[in-house]
Amino acid sequence: MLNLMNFEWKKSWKVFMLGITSILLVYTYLALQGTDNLYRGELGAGIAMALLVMLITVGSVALLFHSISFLSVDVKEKGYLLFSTPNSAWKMLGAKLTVVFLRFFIWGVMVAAIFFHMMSWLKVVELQGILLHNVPQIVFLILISALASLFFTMTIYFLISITATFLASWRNPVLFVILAYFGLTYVVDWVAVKLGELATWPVTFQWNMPIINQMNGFSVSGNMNAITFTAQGLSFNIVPALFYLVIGVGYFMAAGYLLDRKLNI
Amino acid sequence: MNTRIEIANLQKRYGRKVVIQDMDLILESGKVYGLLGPNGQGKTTLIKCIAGLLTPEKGQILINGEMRETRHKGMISMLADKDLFYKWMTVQDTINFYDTFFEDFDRADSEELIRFMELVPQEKVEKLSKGMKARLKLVLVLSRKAKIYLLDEPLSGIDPVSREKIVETILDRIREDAIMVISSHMVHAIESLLDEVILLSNGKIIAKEEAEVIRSEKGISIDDFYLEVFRHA
Repeated sequence: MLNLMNFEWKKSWKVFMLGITSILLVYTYLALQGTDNLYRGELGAGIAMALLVMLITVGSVALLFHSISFLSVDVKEKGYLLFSTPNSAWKMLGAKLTVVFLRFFIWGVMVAAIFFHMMSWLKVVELQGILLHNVPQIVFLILISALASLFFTMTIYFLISITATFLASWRNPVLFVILAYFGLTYVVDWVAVKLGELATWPVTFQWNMPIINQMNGFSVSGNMNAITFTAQGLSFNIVPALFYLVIGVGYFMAAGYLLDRKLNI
Repeated sequence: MNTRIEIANLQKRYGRKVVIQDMDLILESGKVYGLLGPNGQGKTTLIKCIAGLLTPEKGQILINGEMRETRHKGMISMLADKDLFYKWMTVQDTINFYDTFFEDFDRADSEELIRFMELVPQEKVEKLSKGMKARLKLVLVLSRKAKIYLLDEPLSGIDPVSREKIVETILDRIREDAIMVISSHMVHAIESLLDEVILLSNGKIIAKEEAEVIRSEKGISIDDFYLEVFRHA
């Protein structure tokens, strides 16, 4: 497994570096604005939102890259190399997902560190103090975001596995993946929302972050009903989260089975 | 330990086209099999089925009496007819890849073969000529002490100098405890390597004969035997 992870890391290290570069560029841009421009009423929220949007963009670009690479390389002729090794498809998928998770987590930690640093630089002592007292919650947030990125990736890998096996003769696999992704995500989210309404089993992390009130619409897409942010705390509903976990594992098992038993390279 | 591949009632289709039809075949260690036939007769498909890269619709492939599984890939060393390397790889990266994923890879042997094949470890694979890529693929495949070697068109599109080196290398590495299957439509070039020939036409075995029988009893070369069979096929 470690060997496969190492291979996956090497294969797409440029994407990782692109993410790092983008984060540093945004950081530089914000720093160059100077304290006068940045130090306004909605300072914390503005910077947090800018960094968050950037993190989501970097994550989406990485997801797009991994999807294209999986669809056009790994399950096609170039897959010869990997699929001729005595590694099961589950191991290969596991290695890919671990690398995706680790990257997103590292980017998330970088973004959080930059935010802390900017608050310190701009002498927003109060906010910095609040954040420093909520480190576990913030790490949890990054972890959940990284897990959400895994869920998106697994959904796409599952759909690509279908196109590479049962729909191998289809002329437009990309269109199928895009349409099926939105369709499947809509259905899964709808069920998660219903489950969340039926059974509420929240775990709440208390905090006091007025900044959240200024960030309208801030949520982790796809896990919308699993996590709720308010100024007073972070509420994590285990029921829809468990549902996402079950579906994610289901995608993983099904994709592994298809690639192991049905794939023709 | 001897190795044995049993193929029973195998069928493989691409869409509606049947590429392998109800094939039965037994392959045993200590022999070099020539899988011969014109293009598009099912040679590559059969090799890929044995290697586990294709899933047949019907029939079974047994390796030493067991259904072929993912773990058996560890004993199969396959040379693909396609360009299978990633763009970012150097010659050394490909060596590292094989060394990492195959327990039977002999690094010292690969270094010796790299020198013999006049390959440069630091060179990017995508910059290699077709002949040099074919040499590299052979280095990787033959540096393994595998139980089953599947070489798909190892001489296709290769210049005569590279061809000679490739045949020489294969000849040097034939082992008694391994099965070697070489598919080719260039019969003359691989004739000296073969113990047994299997001729394929439209996904079916139309002839299977010992090379020695062809030479001594029939008194003709394998090349002539091939032409004779396909003339009447």
